[in-house]
Amino acid sequence: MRRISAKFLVCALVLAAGCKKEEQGGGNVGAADTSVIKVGEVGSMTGTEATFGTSSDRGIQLAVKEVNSGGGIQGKQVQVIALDDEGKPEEAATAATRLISSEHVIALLGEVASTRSLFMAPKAQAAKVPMVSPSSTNEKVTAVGDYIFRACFIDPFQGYVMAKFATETLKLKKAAILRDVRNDYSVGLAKVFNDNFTKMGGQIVDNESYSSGDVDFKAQLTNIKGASPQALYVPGYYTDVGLIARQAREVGLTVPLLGGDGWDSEKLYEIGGAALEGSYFSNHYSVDDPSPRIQEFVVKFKKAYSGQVPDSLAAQAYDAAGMLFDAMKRAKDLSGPSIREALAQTKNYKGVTGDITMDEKRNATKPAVVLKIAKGGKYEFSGRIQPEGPTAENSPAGTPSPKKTEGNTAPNPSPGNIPTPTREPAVGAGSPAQTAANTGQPQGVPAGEHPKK
Amino acid sequence: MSLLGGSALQRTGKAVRSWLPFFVAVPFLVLIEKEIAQNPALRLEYAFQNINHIGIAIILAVSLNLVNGLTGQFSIGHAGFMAVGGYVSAVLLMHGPPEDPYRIFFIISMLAGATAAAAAGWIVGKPSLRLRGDYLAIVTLGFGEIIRVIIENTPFFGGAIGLSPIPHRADFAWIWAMVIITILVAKRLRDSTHGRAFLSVREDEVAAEAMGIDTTGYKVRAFVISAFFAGVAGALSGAFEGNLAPQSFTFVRSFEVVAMVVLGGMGSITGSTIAAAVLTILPEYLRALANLRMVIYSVALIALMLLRPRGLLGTREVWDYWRKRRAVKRERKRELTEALIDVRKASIRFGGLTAVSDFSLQVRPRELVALIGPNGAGKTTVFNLLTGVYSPSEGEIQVLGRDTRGLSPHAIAHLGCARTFQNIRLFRELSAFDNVRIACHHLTHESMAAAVRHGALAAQEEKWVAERSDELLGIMGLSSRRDELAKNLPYGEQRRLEIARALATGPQVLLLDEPAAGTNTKEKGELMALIRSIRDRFGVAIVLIEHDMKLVMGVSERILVLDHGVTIAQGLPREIQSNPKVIEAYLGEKYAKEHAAQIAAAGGPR
Amino acid sequence: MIDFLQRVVDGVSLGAIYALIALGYTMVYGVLQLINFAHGDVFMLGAMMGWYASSVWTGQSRNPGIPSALAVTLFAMVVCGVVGLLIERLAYRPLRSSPRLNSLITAIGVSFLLEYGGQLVFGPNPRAFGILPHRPASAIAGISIGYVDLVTIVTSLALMFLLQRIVFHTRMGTAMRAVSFNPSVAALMGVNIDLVISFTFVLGSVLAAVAGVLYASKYPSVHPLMGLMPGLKAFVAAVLGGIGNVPGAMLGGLLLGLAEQLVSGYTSSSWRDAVAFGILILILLVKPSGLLGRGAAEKV
Repeated sequence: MRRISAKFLVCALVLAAGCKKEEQGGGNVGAADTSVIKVGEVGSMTGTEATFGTSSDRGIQLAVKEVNSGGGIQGKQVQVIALDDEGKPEEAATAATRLISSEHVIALLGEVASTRSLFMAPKAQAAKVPMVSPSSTNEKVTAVGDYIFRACFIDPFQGYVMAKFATETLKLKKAAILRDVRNDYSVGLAKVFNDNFTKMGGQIVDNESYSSGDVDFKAQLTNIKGASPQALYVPGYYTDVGLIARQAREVGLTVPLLGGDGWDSEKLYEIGGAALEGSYFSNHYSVDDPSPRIQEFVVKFKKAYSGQVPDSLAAQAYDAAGMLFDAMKRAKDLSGPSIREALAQTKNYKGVTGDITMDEKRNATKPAVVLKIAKGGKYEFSGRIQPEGPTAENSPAGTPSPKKTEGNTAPNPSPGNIPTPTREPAVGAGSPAQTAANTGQPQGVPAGEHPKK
Repeated sequence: MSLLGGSALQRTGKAVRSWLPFFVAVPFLVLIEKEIAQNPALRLEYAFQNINHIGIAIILAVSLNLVNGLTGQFSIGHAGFMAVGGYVSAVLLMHGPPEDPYRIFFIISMLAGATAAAAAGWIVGKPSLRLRGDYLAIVTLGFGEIIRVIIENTPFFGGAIGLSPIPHRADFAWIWAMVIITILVAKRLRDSTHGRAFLSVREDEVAAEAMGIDTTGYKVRAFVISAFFAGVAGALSGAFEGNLAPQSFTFVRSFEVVAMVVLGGMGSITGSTIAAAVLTILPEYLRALANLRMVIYSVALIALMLLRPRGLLGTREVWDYWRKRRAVKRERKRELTEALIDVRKASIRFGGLTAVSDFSLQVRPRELVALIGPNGAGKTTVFNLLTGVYSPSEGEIQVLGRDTRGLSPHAIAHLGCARTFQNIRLFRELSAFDNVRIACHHLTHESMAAAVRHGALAAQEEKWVAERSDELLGIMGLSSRRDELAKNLPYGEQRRLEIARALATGPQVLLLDEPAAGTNTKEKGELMALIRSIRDRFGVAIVLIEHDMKLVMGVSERILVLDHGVTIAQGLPREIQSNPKVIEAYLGEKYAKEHAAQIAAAGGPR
Repeated sequence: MIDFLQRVVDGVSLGAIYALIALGYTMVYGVLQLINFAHGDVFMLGAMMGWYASSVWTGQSRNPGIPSALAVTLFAMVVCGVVGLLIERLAYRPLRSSPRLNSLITAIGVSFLLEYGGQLVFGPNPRAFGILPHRPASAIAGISIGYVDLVTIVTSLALMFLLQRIVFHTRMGTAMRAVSFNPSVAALMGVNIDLVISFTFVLGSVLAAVAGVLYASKYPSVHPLMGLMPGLKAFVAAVLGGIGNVPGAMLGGLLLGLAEQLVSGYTSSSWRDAVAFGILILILLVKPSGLLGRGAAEKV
């Protein structure tokens, strides 16, 4: 008998605690605050990934401020409720659940990391709450259901971009890879680069790995140097790449480094310094791009956050939020299904990271740019790769193009999904050749193969 | 015939009754799950998300408590075992049948995961449990990290992105059913003689070994059982969230579980449960202070350690308040006429020092032998040789007919040789009653499974152990001190308790190491009477190390004198008293010469 | 062959850093029998303070002159010494009579406090800073060794000798050794236990600060969570060499660095961290007192 009471006591305590939280969470069942539009955000504001979560958050907050000062959506102000998941996957799921069932948000923004997005997505899908991830690049995320969207590339695309750039523009035949095994983004990009580079006639001479947070890469770099590659693909985050670049030069590896949008941050050059000069990375945009849209964003961001230059995570988050608000404006009403409809029909949303169109897998189709890191850390535009065809915008590597001008946007006659390039390179390059419509899947990904199970 | 059928039915009935709480709870749990948790209209998803997380946390904390709290080992790699269980189970689920209405496959996968985790616990525990506290902590931390690195680097386990989607086979009912099972198993173990064995390992390993407890074996067992339940928690987590990722199994996770065990009180199952619940909800309440959350958490932890280091409940349990007592009688005996102890020319060397050389001793049943000599003569070393703490460099040692060289102390205790210690090694934080009960452990036969099942055998033996312990305490005059913590007893009573404890192991020969140290004349007289009465009542042979000559002369039938490891004399008390070599050893050559006449007059060697 | 030698050199450079951190660890453990988990975070604090001083005051965070480098290091040492003192007084001293496990938990709590508090104060972003003037790496027979590495090795050796002198040739050092053998008896002999322990902590923290500043020069990416792994590895190094033994910490650090570089180079670098723990397990099973330590049997 005593055993029962002890256990039931605990159970009762716990249930009571659970209910208490319900009240504290704000909002009783059913009653929605109709004067404000509640949007939820889940990010890693503390923990090992705090730097990425806070960056994203800043982009989102900026977008919210803008939309509100512009009169809100359908006359209502937008309120973002941001919850920290400490970088832990279960916390992301809990945060999502809380936002959905206690805070009654009508849409979710998040997460940066694909792993955490995967924990969140089933909750959003089950509750029919649209979710837009700003930077989760693993294909599995949007596969969870039709309420899950993303405003960024998927892994296969960026890997393809760099492989293409390396083979066609830099005319490389031998490359090595140094991937971060702790980071699914890095692993994904590395695999796709590997596949595509080999398919395009190149040879991967060495494939090494590290774990994010490591500081010493001499061992791997010495191995790589021994294999004599012509370039080294390092699709990691700027937190590690800076150190990798330095140490590469220290061991005597002088070849250019190649990377992905994880490089984009002012910290990269701060840490890596001159070691990075002459390296390339793919990105959504360039912070030095003089196009008004981008420069406005940069200026606004710097003003709001004491001079911090936005990195690609902030820009993507800004676009994800913007895309969501744009969909809400177009939506019939503010119910989940209607917002979802509107999101799915997003076409050429003019974000800072490109003109975004949702393909039928709810992934963003937009071109990537390749940037070169020149002296003093300035980025130079070096190419644009389209998602659909083998045509790349050519600016031969090494040609200095310090200024970019806003080009004209050629109208796209094809149905659906071809994005319009918004920026043209400077003097010397022609307009991009348009190829026929594609079905949305970036070409170059071998059919049936996926980086993940 | 009906008798036979009746008793079998009775036993089944008893087993069912002992698991009654569980059977009663399950339908409630299912009801709650169907009607409340999964009712979309009530919008209690968030509450239940938390409740389920609490459940998993409780399983983790209670299972870790078995190792950290009860057995006193410090393991901070629990998340690793959780990961093993979770991943093995998830892989099976993902490759299993798409429909599983009766959850048969889920049970199989969960058991498979838990068993894998238990195996991992064995692999980790077997070599590492010899290590001391803080070292064990780092080693378990290392194993936790290694397990995680392996998972991250294995594409089969999904690598960095983890496994998904895992079929959602576990929800409120399953999780809390397992919580109840975990708590019941932990409670039953703790309350059984095995639980006392665990506690004895925590309190004093050397004494526990001497009392017949296989300390290494128990440490490994605790580790394996705790890893098993960690695996259960992992399996449940995967099946509930539908996802598994290596980032969930970091050192931070392990540490959070350790914090729950420590804050709740190491050894208290109730404490671990409450702390698990509180520490899982606390971060949710602190969301408002989102940025400060981890900082507040660490400060709270430090403050709690400083202000209330024993944790919420120390080692107390909620159900201790409802305890009652009983007492009856029983005895067991064996008779032997051969030499109980037969040592021939044993020697032991430590490096260049020969502590004991060429030592021989035969002890017959019911004999009272004393071992005397100046300090440093090697007397306690002889005891250590007899009880297996040291292995002789040369010579033979036979205890109760068996060659004991190479045997561990607990095995020798099983044979029937028990001892007390020069520096009193009681289980200080346990009651007098528990100290004696632990010594009865090796005489019991119930397995751990029986203890958990709470079968008839376990109940019977518990009763017998309690009765026997009460009796011994009574004989030693300690009945009034039954529930007093050993450390709080006055010195003399502590010595008596140690003797009572040694007797509880049911020995044929009892080794007493300076039982009169620190006692006054009156107490010495009582002790002499006590020693004789123990020999008469229990029929044990007693070997005594003592310095007080009056006691030695008054009690012993035979005396051996050691000096610098060598036996310089052996014989009746009278002979020893006037033996010049003995006098020389104790008082010096000069004295012996000066009083040579006196000595010769007193009787001389015979 | 060149490759192998290069790896050896890299290993020694890495090892010198571990040795520096291990020196502080081993001293505190020798005196208090406590694994000071927070040591790695004091080390991080040293690096952060170095960054703070160099970027905010001297403004010479990328290519400083010698005087400013020394000033920055001194500042870091002072701050860390004070912090070490505070930690000991507030968090460890009250728990001296409690079971060792409680101190361990508190140490972990302090470690988390420094990490997440640091994130709050400094922000989670990594900062770049290096106190040493950027000189090019020297190359001998095709093997390169960085300027920072040379400085680190020399500094570690110098500090090790200094520490040995303190421990074996000063009164305070004798007092430290007495406390490490038996605190209560040492107290009875007139040793001021509290003073000795505080001194040990300050000394250890100061060493950690120097290690932090040099580490940041070698790996110029400073952030609040950078101390956890190096701290743990330094502990392994201390155990490897014999915990409580100063030259042992040095030896252990060098061996660990070597092992790490060789294993990462010749097998896969995913096992880099696992190497440290593997060594720990091995040494604890085979020779728990460490390479240079002396075993102590428990008297029954």
